[in-house]
Amino acid sequence: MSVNSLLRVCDLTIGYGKGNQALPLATQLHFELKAGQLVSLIGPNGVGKSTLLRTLCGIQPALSGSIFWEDKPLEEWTAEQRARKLALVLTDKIPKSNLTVYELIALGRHPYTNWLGQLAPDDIKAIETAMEQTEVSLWRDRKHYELSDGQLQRVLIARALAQDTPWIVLDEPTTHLDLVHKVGVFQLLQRVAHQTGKCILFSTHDIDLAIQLSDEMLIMTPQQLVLDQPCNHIESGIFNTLFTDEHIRFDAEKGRFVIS
Amino acid sequence: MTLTSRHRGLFALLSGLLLLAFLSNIAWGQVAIPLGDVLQTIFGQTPIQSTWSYIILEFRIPKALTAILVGMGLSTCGLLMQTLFRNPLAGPYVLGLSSGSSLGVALVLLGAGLLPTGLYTLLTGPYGLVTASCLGSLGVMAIVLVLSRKLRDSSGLLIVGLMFGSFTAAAVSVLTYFSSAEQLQRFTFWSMGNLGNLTYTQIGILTVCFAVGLLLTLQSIKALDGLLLGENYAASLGIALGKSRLRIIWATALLCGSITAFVGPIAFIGLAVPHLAKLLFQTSKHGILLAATLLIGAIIMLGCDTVAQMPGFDFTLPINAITSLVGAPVVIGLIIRKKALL
Repeated sequence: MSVNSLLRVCDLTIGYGKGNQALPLATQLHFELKAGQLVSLIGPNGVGKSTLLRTLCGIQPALSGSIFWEDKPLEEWTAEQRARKLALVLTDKIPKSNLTVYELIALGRHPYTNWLGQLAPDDIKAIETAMEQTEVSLWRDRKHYELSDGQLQRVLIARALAQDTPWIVLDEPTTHLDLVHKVGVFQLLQRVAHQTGKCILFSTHDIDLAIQLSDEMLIMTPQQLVLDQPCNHIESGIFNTLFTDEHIRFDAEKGRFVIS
Repeated sequence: MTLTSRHRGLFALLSGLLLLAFLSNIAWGQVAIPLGDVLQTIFGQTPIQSTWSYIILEFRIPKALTAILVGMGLSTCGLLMQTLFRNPLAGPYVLGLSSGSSLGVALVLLGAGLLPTGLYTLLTGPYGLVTASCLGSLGVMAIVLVLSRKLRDSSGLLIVGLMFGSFTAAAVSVLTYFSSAEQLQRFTFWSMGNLGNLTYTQIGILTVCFAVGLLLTLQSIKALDGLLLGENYAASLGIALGKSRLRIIWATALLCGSITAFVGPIAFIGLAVPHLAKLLFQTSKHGILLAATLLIGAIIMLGCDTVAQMPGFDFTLPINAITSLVGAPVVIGLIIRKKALL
């Protein structure tokens, strides 16, 4: 295990347990994530991407195997300690409330504030930095429900950045966005990973963009889970095993899927 | 908490209004007492007529204090429930907590004849009624919480609340067959809602319950803020969900149960007041919202009671009629204009 390992997964089985009948989605998963990397998780619908992310984050228990955050097993971290290590951007709909963009981002400082949630100068600095990085400062006084999907996604990313954690997990952050906003979010995540040394893991269906912009790709098929650099994935030909449909083929030279 | 100047101004205004509402509530009634004499009596001097002193100290001040506790407590309940269920139309009355309390009280007042004598005296005392009532709202709160995980939309939950109301009414009508005319009369008076029947001892008990409920609420402020983003985000912010949820449930049940036990089921205050606070203060921060909700709740309840005792008339209207007249249009307005926020 290397020094800067943030997440290590050993012989992990994920899925849903119903009484004695466990329904495993994927078994024997092994991989390790390091700081300063943008890692994308791709795979067909229903293969268990969300379940994997939820399990890694501790939202959902693993069926078997072990997950290490840094060098400590996930179960040994308290909820408060976890909140200082991992920030999330989920697909959950945010209920309509009076929260402004600034207040929503400020909620990211919860793990550091007192019982009333009062912001100290350090907190305000972290919020401002997060807003600058994501370029959302202009909307600071807008209500969160007034934002477009693309704007809200940037604000949610800002909230995760304000939480000031060494790693961030995003569940399909580019769904519902147009191409410009998709690329914007990808570039933002790449910039943050490289500039701040955070590890950013996200699931996506935008495989073409993920190939171009991520440092490592975690490819999940019903048979296996492989972590490698995008160019190595292309060489190995794993993309052709991703979808069972014979009309969809991966063109290694163009680096994208074509329909034949 | 950093307050904007707008918030500071509003708090000053509301505090002034609360003082005004308190004094006018004491001054007005079947006998109008000049404000000067009201103040004199409050500060321990004797007013011009000694009967005024009796009216103020033995009747009007306890009633005004009860109104303040009831307004503050029920509004806090509403605020807690709206955020916990992330349903802007939640409140102790509409979701059936008051019905649960009613059932508890009905079992004590009407069904006590079925109990052995020892238990009877225990349960008909002041603590018995409060206990039964709190257990009733706790039970309903627990059921609603379980159902809220299955019913994602607001209207489904409201219908469940309605069903609790029907269930209680049915259970009560069954109980009436087993109770005496005297018991029935006692229950009927209780169910109409009355702020004016409390002794200072009972106000003491209510104050203790209110204080505990408020303390639990204060401890939940940060969790409530986190819950504005939904449970998964709240958990990712380090909030112990199970513990916080339990604390909020206890606070709600204690506040609603104790209040309902002493003054009867009071409609709509719990739902409407938090929305007035949200509209006025334009914030979702629970530290500010709680303070605003407490102040507005007390003002509205005192106001409703002042209207109910009809200055210049010989009779008093049931308090529940007034709060419904005020509250129901607010709720309908919120639904139609889709302005309901957390």
